[in-house]
Amino acid sequence: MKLKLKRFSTLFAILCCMGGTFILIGLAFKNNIRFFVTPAQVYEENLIHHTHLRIGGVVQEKSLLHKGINHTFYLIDGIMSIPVKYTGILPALFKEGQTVVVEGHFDPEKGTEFMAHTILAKHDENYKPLLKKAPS
Amino acid sequence: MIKSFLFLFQMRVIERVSHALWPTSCVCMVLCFLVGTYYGLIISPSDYRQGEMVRFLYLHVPASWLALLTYTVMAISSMIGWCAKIPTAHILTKCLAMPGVIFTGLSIITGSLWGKPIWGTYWAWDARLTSMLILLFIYMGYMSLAYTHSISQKRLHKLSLLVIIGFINIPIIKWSVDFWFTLHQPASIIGFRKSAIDNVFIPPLIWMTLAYIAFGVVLTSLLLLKFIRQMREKCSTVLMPTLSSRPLKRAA
Repeated sequence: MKLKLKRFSTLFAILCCMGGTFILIGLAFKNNIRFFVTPAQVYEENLIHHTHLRIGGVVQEKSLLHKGINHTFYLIDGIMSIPVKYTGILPALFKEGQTVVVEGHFDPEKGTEFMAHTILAKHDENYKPLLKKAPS
Repeated sequence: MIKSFLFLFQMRVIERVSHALWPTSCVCMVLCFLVGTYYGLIISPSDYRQGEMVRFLYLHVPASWLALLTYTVMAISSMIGWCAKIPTAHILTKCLAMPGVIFTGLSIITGSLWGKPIWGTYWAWDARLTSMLILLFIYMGYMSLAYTHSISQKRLHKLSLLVIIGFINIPIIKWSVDFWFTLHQPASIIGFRKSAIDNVFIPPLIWMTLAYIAFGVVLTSLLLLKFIRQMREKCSTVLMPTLSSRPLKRAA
């Protein structure tokens, strides 16, 4: 019985240490594990000069413009908006009102426009069937 | 009460259960796969935004669920084996590692193939994907140590600590999408709350989950039979002759 108690208390100590590690990891990495920042955080934390940045937000309605394969739009999060310029083919799920993550950097001279080299479409957790309307 | 629970870990009981379980599970697995595939490919509608790509849901989600569930069962079995020093609990942990690594690998591969058309990338180093990759490494690390030929019970007993320590990864995976900003979306089905998945998509998901579970049961049962027989033979040649002197009664 004594041995069992010893093994159990070893296990309990390990589990407590793991719980503590979990909390410490969560607290320490809170800012670094994030995959992207929001437009508001870009200005709050003054990240405009960063050479590699990922910003997540919603494509503003009626702001998408195409010039061949050059696209410009505004990325908003309800607080701030960032003008984004992207050259290339947009992902399939990209449209106005869609949440996207843009990866790139702000233009070096003025720091007002975001030059994106990658655009990822983020989809939310909703799955709804496509209701096909019968041809009338 | 505890005695009746520990009865389950007797070698005879596990052998008999595994011996009876794997043929029926095989049949269930094939049936559930067929029904799930039919439901998933033909009856299920397409999503309003993802189109036909939503069918990856039926491959990716059960694999992810079971990868986490298998590791949880492994951790519980390891804790029981460690505290009560039951060798068959460690053998159960060892046998569960194989389906576990298969599910995790499937989850990452199907998720990757699903991510390319939907997100635009095969991989991203966000919290959910990275922690799933770490789970894969934990599984592979455990397997590389436990699946060595003629590993001693003592070594397997100590190895259970690795599984227990690795269990910290499971809540990290589960809540990574809620704690941090990630590319992977938050959970769609949470307990008994109204799920964000429309009801149309649920039946194929359930069938495929059952198919995956049946596959896990088949694999675990076959491995259990193999490793318990190995342990029996080792016991008969070294110590504890009483354990192997009791013959395994096969059903007539």
